[in-house]
Amino acid sequence: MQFFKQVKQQTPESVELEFTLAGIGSRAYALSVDYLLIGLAMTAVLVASTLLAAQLIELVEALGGLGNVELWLVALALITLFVIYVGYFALLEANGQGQTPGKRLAKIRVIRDDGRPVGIFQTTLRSLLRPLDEFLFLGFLFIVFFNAQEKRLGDLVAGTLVIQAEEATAKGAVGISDGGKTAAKALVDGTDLSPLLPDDFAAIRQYLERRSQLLPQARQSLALRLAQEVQAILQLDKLPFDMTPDVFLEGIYLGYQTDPDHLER
Amino acid sequence: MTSRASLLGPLNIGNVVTTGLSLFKSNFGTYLKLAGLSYLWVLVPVYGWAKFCMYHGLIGRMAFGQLINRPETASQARAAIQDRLWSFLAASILVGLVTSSVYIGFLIVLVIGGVIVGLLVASLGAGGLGTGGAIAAILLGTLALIALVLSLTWITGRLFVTEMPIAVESHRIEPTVALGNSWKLTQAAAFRVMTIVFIAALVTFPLSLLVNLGVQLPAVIFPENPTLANGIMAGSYVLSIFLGIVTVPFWQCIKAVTYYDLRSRREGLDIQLRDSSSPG
Repeated sequence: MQFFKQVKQQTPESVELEFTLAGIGSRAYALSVDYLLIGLAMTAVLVASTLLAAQLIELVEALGGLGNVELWLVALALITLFVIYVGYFALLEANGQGQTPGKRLAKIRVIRDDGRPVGIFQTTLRSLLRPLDEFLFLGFLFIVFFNAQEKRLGDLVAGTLVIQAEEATAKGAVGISDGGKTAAKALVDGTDLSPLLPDDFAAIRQYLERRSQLLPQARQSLALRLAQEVQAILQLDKLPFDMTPDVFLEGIYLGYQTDPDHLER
Repeated sequence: MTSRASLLGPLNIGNVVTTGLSLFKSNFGTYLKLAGLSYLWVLVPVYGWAKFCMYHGLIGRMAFGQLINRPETASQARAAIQDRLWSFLAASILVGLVTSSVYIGFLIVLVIGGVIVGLLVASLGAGGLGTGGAIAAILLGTLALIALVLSLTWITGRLFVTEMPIAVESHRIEPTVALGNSWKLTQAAAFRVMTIVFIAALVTFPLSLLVNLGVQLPAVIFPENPTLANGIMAGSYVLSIFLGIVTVPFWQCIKAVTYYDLRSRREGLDIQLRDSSSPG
């Protein structure tokens, strides 16, 4: 079953790119974080401007009064809040490679329809249409139901897509022990590793990368199961020497990378 | 197709919710029927309540089955878990008991703390505390409230997936063991789980708002009309059941994906060689 929508895009250079769309969950997550930050910024501005306004009004009155100075101040405060709201998204997306702090946390980014990075023009349009999308839930309806590319009104007008940001960093380290290195040498010498498929190798690497996060009992039984299955695939009735499942899997991992047999295939 | 090729593996918070919603959307009819049945059973005391819990577990099992690439029909899934009927009820009672004892324990601590503070204040003499004291009291009260909310959030997160092992394991799991499972899996992840719950709630917000508006609006428009008032009462009852029937499958999908994610992270559920025996 396909859980995430994909889009293929042609860049202006006719390179075909495939993106995974962000999905409603990550977008809602990013939005709540961004709204939290905006809320904090607005509160700070309101507190500061209230303190400032009180003094300003006193000053104006001392100077002889100027009619409706309070009204002007309220208008100014409202405009400032609006600028914070629109500017937060417009500026941060344009300068942060399509990512606000919320989007960075949720690992998503905005791009143009053709895959190019967004500029201030697109991000401002997206930002100006936010009230419609967010307070009337139009964005939710478009993302979940109406638009196959998960575009809310702002995305439709600005010609943008929100996609999952590629994970640039490597995951955990594989962490090969000395025993693993010895095992690799012994295994490569005596065994044909070619029956292992790249998928199997990927599973072994996943285990080695993530084993430190696993619950001890689960780790033990998973390592044993994987080792037994690898042994069966390789028809390895007897191991070169006694080793723990972890050491065996490390050996296979290292050996598979250096083994010339399967690399020729 | 190899079985591991399309397993999702650990997901980030947003993707748990997206995957849950995607499962919910693509199985909408099937899950809705099961949720509807559960709400019929709730009218029957005790036995019906167990059925109610079992049907929810059933939806969770079916959603989980899709995540591990072993989809089942409703009747297959039901046949597999039918004899665990009482485990589901016992597990949900257990979760309720643990949660409420945290709540009660908190209140006891609060009362004792309040008494101690009160005695201290009284020993200061009749002068009272003045404004500083009042502010301190308000601050303390706010802190206590925040602590209460946080601890309830935390305990709910730790027990969030309790019923899942009862629903998905191939053998029977005692409710206490299931609770322990949830506890182990959510170690240091309670607030991550509750962030998932928060985002999921945000996603259901438009729907619940619409339903609430549907319930409240007539009463607002025609404030004093006795026949209408009865109608509204009945209508709002029906609508809230409708809301339950629609949202229960969604929450069970979220629960299933959360459980899948936790087990991938903590047990490597998604790590398998080709065609190896499936997890369970």
